[in-house]
Amino acid sequence: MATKRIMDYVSIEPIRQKNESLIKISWKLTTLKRKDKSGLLVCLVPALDLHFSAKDNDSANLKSHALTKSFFDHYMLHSKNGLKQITLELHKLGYKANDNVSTIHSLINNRPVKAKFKIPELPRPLEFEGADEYQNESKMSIAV
Amino acid sequence: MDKTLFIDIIESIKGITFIRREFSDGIHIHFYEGLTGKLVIIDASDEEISEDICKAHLIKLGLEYLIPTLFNKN
Repeated sequence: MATKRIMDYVSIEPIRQKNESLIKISWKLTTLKRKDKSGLLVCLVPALDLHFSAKDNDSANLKSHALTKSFFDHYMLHSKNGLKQITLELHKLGYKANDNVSTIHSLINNRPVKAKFKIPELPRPLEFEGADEYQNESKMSIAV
Repeated sequence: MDKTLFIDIIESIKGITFIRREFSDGIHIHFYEGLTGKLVIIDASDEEISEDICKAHLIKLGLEYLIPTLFNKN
């Protein structure tokens, strides 16, 4: 059986509002869900390598949002040079942007540019073949 | 595995750094740095963590050597 490709993305966009500069981060990420032998839902956000379990579908979807947001919060709000840190982390996870080298160079030097990072060809892990999917789409804005 | 037991085990290992915890949208989240410097985000909301998830966390933390002993059915 051919593995299903997951095409997720994270986009970064500088926004200027009145006297405030913001960075808007938005994402569309897939959460895979399967039942383990004890009946718990085993969940994976492949694009961020996030793993968690949940008692039911609603809880899994809620956790998907919370944990994904916390991932971005951690780098943008709780790390020094947040833009640089999140850019490096996305790069290490395999994300690529158009004009990747130039984009990454700008971002890690704290020059916000509009960028859409995609993970090229992320195969579904074998243990998640046939797993349910949940699309987590959200965004956040941070003042810089 | 019991969540409290799992958390206690990983926090007892030298080299595992507890960074912080947060409570977001009703979800308890712990942040750790593993032995290889990797960020590991652990959902600590439920009383039980799936065995498969515990193993995934241990691998990311650099503690895969614990898997055979912690999850040995014999």
